[in-house]
Amino acid sequence: MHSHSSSVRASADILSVALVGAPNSGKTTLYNWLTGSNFKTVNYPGATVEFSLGRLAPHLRRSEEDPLLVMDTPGTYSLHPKSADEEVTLKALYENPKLGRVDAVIVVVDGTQLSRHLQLVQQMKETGFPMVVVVTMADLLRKQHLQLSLEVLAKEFSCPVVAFEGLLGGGLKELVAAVRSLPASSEVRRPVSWSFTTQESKLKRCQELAELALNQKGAEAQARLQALVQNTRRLDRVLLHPLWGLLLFVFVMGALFTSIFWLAAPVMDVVDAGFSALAQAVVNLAPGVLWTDFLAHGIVSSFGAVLVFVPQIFILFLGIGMLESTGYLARAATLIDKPFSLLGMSGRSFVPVLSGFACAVPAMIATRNISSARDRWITTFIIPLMTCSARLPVYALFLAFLFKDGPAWKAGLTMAILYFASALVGATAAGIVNKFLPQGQNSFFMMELPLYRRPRLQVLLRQALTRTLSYVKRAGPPIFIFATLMWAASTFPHYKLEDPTQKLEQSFAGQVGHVIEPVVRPMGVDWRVGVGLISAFAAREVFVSSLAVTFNITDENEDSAQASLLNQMASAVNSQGEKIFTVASVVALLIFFMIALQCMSTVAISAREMGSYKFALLQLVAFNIGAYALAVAAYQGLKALGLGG
Amino acid sequence: MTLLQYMQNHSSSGNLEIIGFTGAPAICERLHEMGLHQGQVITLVGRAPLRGPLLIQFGTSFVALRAEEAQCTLIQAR
Repeated sequence: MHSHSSSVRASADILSVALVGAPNSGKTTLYNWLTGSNFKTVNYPGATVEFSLGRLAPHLRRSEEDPLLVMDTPGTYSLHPKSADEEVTLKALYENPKLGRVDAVIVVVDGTQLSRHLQLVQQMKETGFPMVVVVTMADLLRKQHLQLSLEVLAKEFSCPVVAFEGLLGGGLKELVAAVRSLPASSEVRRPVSWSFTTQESKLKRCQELAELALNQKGAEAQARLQALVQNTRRLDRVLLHPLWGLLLFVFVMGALFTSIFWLAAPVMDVVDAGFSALAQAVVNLAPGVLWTDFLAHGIVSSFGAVLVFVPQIFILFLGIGMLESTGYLARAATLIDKPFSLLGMSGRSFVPVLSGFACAVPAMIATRNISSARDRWITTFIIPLMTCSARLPVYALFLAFLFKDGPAWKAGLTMAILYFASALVGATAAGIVNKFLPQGQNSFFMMELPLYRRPRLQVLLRQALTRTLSYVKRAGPPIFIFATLMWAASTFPHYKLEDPTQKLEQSFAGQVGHVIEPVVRPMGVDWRVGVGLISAFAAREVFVSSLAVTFNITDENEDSAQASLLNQMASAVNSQGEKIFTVASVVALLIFFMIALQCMSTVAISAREMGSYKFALLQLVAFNIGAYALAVAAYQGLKALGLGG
Repeated sequence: MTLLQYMQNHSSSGNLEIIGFTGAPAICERLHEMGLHQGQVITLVGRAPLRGPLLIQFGTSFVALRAEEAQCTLIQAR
């Protein structure tokens, strides 16, 4: 890692430039401005864990063919990596799989944390990379009446220094011009470790430089900066208080997960009614004809059954975004560090675990921010147990069934309990693994707590919308494919039969369903639900659309498709005339979905991130067998208590 | 004394000066990288619930340190 090898590259122009900086220094905001991207920016150190590559935004290009590429990298405190995300940064600079070695570097330093962040500039200067230093938060400094002397830094590091304003993108053109002015050929060395004495003297020099650069700090500016710090201290006194801090943490998380249900309800009704009207309109085009049956019962009903839950997913993303942008997440990680350490993880596991409630794929990638390999192993192992957004439609359907005529708060509270239960199952799994996994080296936590910032509603809404649309886009193709397959399988070969039950019974899906029925029967369900459970391995949401097709909704007497599906579920009976959906079987299905690992993208990412197919296979087998066993036990237990009829 | 010992013996927060580092080199290096050095004046702000990480402030920075990390930081009261 610390070899003294050097390499020389010569080319006419700078073709690639990497953004390097400490966590939460504003790299991703700058990257978004430079490339016109819309990557998520948050107030949490360690949010970026992968490098991203993009072309300059059109208005910054010299011509349409301008080849200059910009790269965003995970935040790093130094060029001596101590976690997987910091390794990514170093590799992205020297052995980038797409670029080889980058031509130049933009070192991003936060103007409000100058003395700390200048260390990285010193290290980068030693490597010989042509570089530009960018001081971010220039708008915040100006607001606090702080004047920054860029010349002091330019003289010290013998490179261009540019101030950048994240809110309006001020300084962008100057930055691109500075990058283009850099020498295209350079001799680059690997970073060399500093001795303790060198590190001490370098840090002290950084402090002197920061004081010199911010030499215009008058009494008023000093007072304003102090007010900013005092505000954070005041808030921390409450949010990190031994008692209030914990209570507020529970309240914030509880509010987030209950709001998913009750806030979304009115919008869901509108979406549901819209899809019902559309399905009816399609049927009316040509009643009794095969293609209208396919469009109404296959496509519209399937998409409607899943898209009705999009408002809930939007609220989940909005809530998480709000926590991310205020600076609270780093505090939550600090609050949770002690309990997590007892389970073999650290506070740094909190953000990946919380992200797991949205989607396990980015959550597993986010574990790169965890320095200890053992902590990372355990965190990655339990992430699939968190209630991801794909489970939401399934939970919501079953809760709507269980509390059909009850008040919305009951379903909301049960939803919160389900989220809590999934966290509890995750904690239990972590506890078990922690007991058997060999002890590794000590992990460190050392979390930087950013200054609190007021979130900007417009940005939050835009980010939540982007993430929701990305969810819909990802879920769309499997829903379409399986809706088509399920419709065809449940319609053919006897599509001319008048009786829908008979038609389904004798269909291809019916035949497959009957083969697997002995496996699902101990959970209290019949072959139709079994077919849905198999289809859920494509994507969990498909289970809901699969039920919509197999239970043949679009009842003309109902106000909405969901009401129709719920009624079909309430009256559905198996071949012995017993009700399929009872309290016992629905609870068993909820338990199955809570634990089962059905998402193949998660399995693939798990194998990639941990570098082991055995690891992913262990998750797949353990969680699915565990889910099935617990679901059967729950059904049989509840049935014995009289809740199975 | 170490920062952890100070925390255990004093109930009120106060200004402290870092006089050195001891213990695991990787932790000491990371403490440096976070901006802590000899002569740096820090304020012990408090401790997270359940005997969790210690909270310190220096300049405009706030950092949470686990007990074993605070154990590596030698300080004296100012």
